[in-house]
Amino acid sequence: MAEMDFVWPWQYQFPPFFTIQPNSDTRAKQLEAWKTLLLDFHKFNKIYLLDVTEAQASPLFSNKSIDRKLNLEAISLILDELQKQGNVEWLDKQKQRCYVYWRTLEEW
Amino acid sequence: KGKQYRAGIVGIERQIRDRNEATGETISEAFEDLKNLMKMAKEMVNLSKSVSQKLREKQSDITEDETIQFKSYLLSLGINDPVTKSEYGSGSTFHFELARQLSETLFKPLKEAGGILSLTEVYCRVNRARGVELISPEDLLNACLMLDKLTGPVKLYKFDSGVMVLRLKSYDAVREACKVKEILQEKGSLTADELSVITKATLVIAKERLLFLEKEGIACRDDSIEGLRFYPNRFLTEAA
Repeated sequence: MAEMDFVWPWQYQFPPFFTIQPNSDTRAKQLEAWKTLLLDFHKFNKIYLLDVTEAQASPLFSNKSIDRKLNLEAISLILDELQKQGNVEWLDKQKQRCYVYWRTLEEW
Repeated sequence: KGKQYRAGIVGIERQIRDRNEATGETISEAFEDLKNLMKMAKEMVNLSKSVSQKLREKQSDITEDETIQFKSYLLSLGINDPVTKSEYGSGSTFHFELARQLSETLFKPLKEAGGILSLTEVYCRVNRARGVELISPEDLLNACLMLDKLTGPVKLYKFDSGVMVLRLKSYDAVREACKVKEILQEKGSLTADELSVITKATLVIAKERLLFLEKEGIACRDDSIEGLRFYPNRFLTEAA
């Protein structure tokens, strides 16, 4: 599987990465890392459609080796941030499915 | 008593009825007394209100003897009205004296506890040492609020979470934080109770110390079903 060759960032093995940090500076860095990871992951695996409920189970948001999972709230937070910078477009009003552009539309 | 009751059911019934009447009387008597007592107290409350009205007319600059005395009258009545009285006399002399006593008696226990004790712990220690004439939580708090005005070695400090502690003046929060930081780096990660075991501090204080590190951006958290763990903040120290 292509996933196997994907190089995970160091944060992926760091348990606090899977808890949204209350400290604003720390959280900014954390979200930055998540955004990069999400885009890289989709680019590497050439996936462009993301379903929030399904994504929860994917290795992107759940690291079995350290037994940590990112919760739904946090996933939505990251997706919202990505939408603001034009990398994500929602397909429905409930924000369940979205397109992930690893390059923004302008760049394409 | 002394009354003769006829034998039989009627006698027993009468006996019960009479006894009920007697207890009813004592109860209503007791309430009557209470009512009188409350009436007196009410007068005192009214009086104190009119006095505070007069105090308002005079502007407050320095703590006058009058207001201090007035404050202690209020305290002995069991009415505490700091909202209107705070401008007229900063507190009560009783609390001031209590604060002085606290700062003397707590110096040693504080030193043994590493310079910091939570207010509930202080409350336990003080009242257990006293045995009689216990102090109320409110008295303790009020006394502690006045510690700042004393030049004693003990100060009151309130954490963001609302937890209040007494600290020695010599207590250095930054130095403590550095110590905790070292422990954190050595262990890799910590929960509040692990830290409390290592530093021999109470759980509440250990947690506050970790939260302080988090606030300063030195630590970050990992919240899972295993508990709340703190890690050195690699988000800020390491580049992506």
